[in-house]
Amino acid sequence: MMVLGTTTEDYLTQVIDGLGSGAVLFLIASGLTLIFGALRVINFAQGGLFLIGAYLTYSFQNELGFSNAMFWVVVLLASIAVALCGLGLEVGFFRPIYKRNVLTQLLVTFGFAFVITGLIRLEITGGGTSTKGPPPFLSGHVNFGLQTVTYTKFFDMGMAIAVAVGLWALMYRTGLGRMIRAAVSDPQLLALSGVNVRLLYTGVFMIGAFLAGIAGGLFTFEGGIQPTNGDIIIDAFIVVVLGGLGSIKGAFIAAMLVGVFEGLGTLWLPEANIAIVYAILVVVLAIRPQGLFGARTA
Amino acid sequence: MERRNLGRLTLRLASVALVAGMIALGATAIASGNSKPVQKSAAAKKCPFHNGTIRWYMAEDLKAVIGPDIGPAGVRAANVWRDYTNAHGGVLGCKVAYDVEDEAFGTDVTTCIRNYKNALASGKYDFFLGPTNSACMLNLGAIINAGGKPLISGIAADHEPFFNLFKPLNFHASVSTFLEGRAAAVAAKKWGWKTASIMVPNYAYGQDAGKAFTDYFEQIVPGGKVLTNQQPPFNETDFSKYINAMIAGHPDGIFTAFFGSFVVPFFKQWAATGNDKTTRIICGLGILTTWQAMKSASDIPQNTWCYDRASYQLLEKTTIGAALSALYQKTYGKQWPLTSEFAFQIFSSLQMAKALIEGTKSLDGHKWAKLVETGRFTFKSPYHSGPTYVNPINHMADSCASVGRVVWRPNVPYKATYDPKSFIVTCMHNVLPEAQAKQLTHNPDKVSERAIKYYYSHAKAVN
Repeated sequence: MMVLGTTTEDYLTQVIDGLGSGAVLFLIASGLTLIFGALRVINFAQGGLFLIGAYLTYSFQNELGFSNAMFWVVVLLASIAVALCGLGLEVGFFRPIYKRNVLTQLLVTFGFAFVITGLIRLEITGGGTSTKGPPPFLSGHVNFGLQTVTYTKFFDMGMAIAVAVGLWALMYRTGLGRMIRAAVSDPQLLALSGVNVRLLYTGVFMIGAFLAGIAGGLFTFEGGIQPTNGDIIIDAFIVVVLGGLGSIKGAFIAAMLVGVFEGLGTLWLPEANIAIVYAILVVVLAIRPQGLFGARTA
Repeated sequence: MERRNLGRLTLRLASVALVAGMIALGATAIASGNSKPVQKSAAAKKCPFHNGTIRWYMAEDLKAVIGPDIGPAGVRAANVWRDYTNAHGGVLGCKVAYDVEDEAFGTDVTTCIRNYKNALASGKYDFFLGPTNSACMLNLGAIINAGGKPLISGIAADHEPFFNLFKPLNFHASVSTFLEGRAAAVAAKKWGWKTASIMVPNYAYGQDAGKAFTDYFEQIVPGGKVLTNQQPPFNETDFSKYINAMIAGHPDGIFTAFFGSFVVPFFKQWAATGNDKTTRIICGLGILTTWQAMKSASDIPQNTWCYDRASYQLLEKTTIGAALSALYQKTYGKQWPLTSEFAFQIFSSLQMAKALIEGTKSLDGHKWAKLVETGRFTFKSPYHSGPTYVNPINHMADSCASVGRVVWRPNVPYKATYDPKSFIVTCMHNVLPEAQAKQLTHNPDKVSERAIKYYYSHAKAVN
């Protein structure tokens, strides 16, 4: 099959569009890597929480209306609701498995991803649904020759940068961040100093769930949602591994790389553009097993 | 301290109970979606076969992974057909009955295959209808034939079991992916496309449809070229990169092979780029599940056409289609106001089985094959008002697929629908000429030239 990418516009649109796609991926991956960084749990249920965020945004839009102002209210409400789901999951199910082996943690969190998907599927009798798409202020696109990049991609990039900066500030400029970092180093010592580590973990888990909720809300921009969309957790996991488990900066850069190379892959290798991403993952891990920005462990 | 622990335990137990309750509720709902238990038949007086009952087996997507208008609709159609047939003397005086199991639709193909193997080993069944899952169907021809039983296509539209994987006891009663792709190519030619970009989700159905379109488009359009073949993952929702890659080649039109409601985000994103004003698309298999997911007229881009394997708008106009659809509506109309494509597929499959049994007075698949290979075998399918002929080379019925423009009609149950005036209908005999049929299928029975000529000359004459 011929290579189509021959003009500057072809490449430019794919790069910009890829950064936008990578931005949504980062929002999911940021929660995943935050939770891993603090709790040392790879929370595959994040895919299910993302799905809840998307469906709640869709439902709230139908109930509360759809306008520029209401868009923010709806996404915020949905994300808070997802954070509360995260609270229930953490307290009810995940807390008891923090000290279990990795396999148990993986099975439990992965199991919950399936449970959430199954429950959503039952609720909407199997099929997907169209959503209202982006709010009015994001309806439009920038032309690059024949190709286009929608405003939502630029918005997603802005949100990803805001979340990245916010998480950095949280971790390195606040007392809570200091406690989280201390909990990673030595939770027992932190507990002895009077900090409620259990509560701290719950808080981190809720933040991660909140981020999944935001990602789900922004995902409704695409115009439709399916119960199977929770599978995006696999891409997010690739991002987290590529960037280095627990590294917010690594997740950000890896998400952008994945987004851009998936886009360029449609020009270079249309039948197998996804393979390019996996090839990058393999090469990076062969050279740096800890990922791009992961801490080297003994 | 104890009170705190007790409180924590209570909270955990409450969460566990909540989730367990939800799972139990889900399991109950799935179980209630299964068909009614097969009634024990009272042996009919004249039935020439073993216990007075002809029994078939099928495994379908009962959990409605893709949508309730697919697997569950097939079961509803089977119930309607069984009850009507039994109420009207059965088949050769025999009652008809069937068993259905969930095939675990998705990547778990082994469950589906195991179900069929177990059913075959049980010795209970006279013939088999294919499943919903294409990947499962691909494997069944060899298994069921090895057991000496006939296999009639069900919902999965694979053409391979009738071409390169042909087995003498395989029979096809409805529309194949091959026909869908070729029907789309016929429409593209009619519109004057010289170039097309295609996007086929990366799974068996999408790739088969894409290949069928590409091969035939480049064959029938002089100088016709498919510029790019984008293959997003099955669950992809962000199509902007694929849209830009397809548009980069300046194609005359776009062909995609979406299935069910998976097309919805593509529609939104395609319209958002503004390309819909100038470039026509064939969206893939547009079925009731697709239309159900559309919530407003703005969900449909301009210049959107989809292909279909059994639109109620067309099939309810044929004698058998109208009769079976009326029965379906009578039974399920309150909940399912329209007869789905997949219900028609099952109707057609069972009508074929009935005609084969009556024509041979036998349940022996080899006798069925011999009858089909005369070129004169017909059955009353929902695809034609006249008889439906069956190609003696590959045992595939002369069914028809359609390509139609998608419009918003507020006065029909599913408001997104086809414009009935726009349909471009293509039947198997139109797109699979004799020479190609021989080339694609190596039938060991060495079908006579006379039979082949008879089939082609008569199939063309049917309305």
